Amino acid sequence: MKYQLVRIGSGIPGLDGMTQGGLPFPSTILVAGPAGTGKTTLGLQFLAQGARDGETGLFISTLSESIQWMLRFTSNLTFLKKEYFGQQIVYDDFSGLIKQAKDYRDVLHALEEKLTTLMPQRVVIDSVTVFERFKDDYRDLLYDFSVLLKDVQATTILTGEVDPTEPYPVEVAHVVDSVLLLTSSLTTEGGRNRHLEVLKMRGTNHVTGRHLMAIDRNGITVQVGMG
Amino acid sequence: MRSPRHPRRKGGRRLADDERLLDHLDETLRNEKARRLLFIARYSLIPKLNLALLDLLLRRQSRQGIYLSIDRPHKFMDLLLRKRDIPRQKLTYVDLVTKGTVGGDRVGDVKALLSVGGFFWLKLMTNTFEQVFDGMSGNQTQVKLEDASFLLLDNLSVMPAYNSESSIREFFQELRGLLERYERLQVFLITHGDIHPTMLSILKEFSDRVVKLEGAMG
Repeated sequence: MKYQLVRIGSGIPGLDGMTQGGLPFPSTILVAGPAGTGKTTLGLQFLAQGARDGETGLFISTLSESIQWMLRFTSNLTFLKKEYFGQQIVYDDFSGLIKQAKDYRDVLHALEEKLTTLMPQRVVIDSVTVFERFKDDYRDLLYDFSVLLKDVQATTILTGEVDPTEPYPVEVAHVVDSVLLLTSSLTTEGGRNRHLEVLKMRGTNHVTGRHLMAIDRNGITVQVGMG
Repeated sequence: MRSPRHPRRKGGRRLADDERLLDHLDETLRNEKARRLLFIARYSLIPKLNLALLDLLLRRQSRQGIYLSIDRPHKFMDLLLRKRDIPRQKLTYVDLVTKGTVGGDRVGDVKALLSVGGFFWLKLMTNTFEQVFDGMSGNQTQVKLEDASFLLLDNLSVMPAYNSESSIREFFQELRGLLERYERLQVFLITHGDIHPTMLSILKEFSDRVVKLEGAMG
């Protein structure tokens, strides 16, 4: 008699087929990539899928973006209905708190308050890169966040900014269950191709390698097998 | 107008959802005589179902009992109860997730806390459940086994991850024995439906009543 890991739909066409049917629930997932590779879009698609499935999602911005600006920038995305916000998807901006916090535990407690009140099934923290300001306690912070997010019984996406020379934030990658890499490369015509790679997914016999990824107003689509 | 038994909580729409679930459980379990109840809900509802059941049993029904956590540390459930002002004085935790020593432990203002340490202790526990309670000193034990009116197991769908089929069967056999010895005890089992068919049949065989939470409730 085998234990069957619960998997939830990612909302990204093509991705669930690479991961045995979906993302493990509960788990923590790092989505890492340079600017413009689709990290926030992926997170929003993940929450929109949850909203369609009757789940509650929490989007925490650490980038000082109010919900008004987020809604404006995402208004052309077909998968994200405005009525999700405040209902199935709760948006919160933690940037001010992170700036003012003397200790990372202040942020941890605020997150705990949010999670225990809402009890969401899906969480996106966009992005964790700003937590590097707590550099003396960074490992403790990552560990404590990881424990809290597991306890709340949610699947959490943490986005992480990287520069093109660094594939992923190594310290974050150690504490999460899965790592998705988003990259882009110049084409011979001077355009850019975007790629998605499942680098690690615990408990999952996932498809390896880089796969071509398209982003348009319908969100991200992974073209599995197309490198 | 809100009923006085619904204290205002944070969370907007969530408040309405949580209370709807609580009301639904209250209605479902009113005058329930079955002693072994199995709840099957969508995976995503399990934490809220745990919370709503404890809210119902501890606050609305003023009962005392035991919360056996298999899925996640009891401390998190304690935090959820505390934030919602659900009384925890009549609850003893048995935590199979947090490693600790057999016997009483005290964290914060939770006086009766039993941390028995480790998933693999489940098999051992079937034989020593009562001894562990006996071993707790009187002051630490808020709810004695003989006074408990319920035993709630948080999420049985994870059981096969840590235990063989034979040890799971043995556990439920022991649990039957426990119910025979403690006649006031009512057992609440919780799982989601996407589990191994053998596990589901073990749970159904054990239970007197299966409550499926469907639609918006499950």
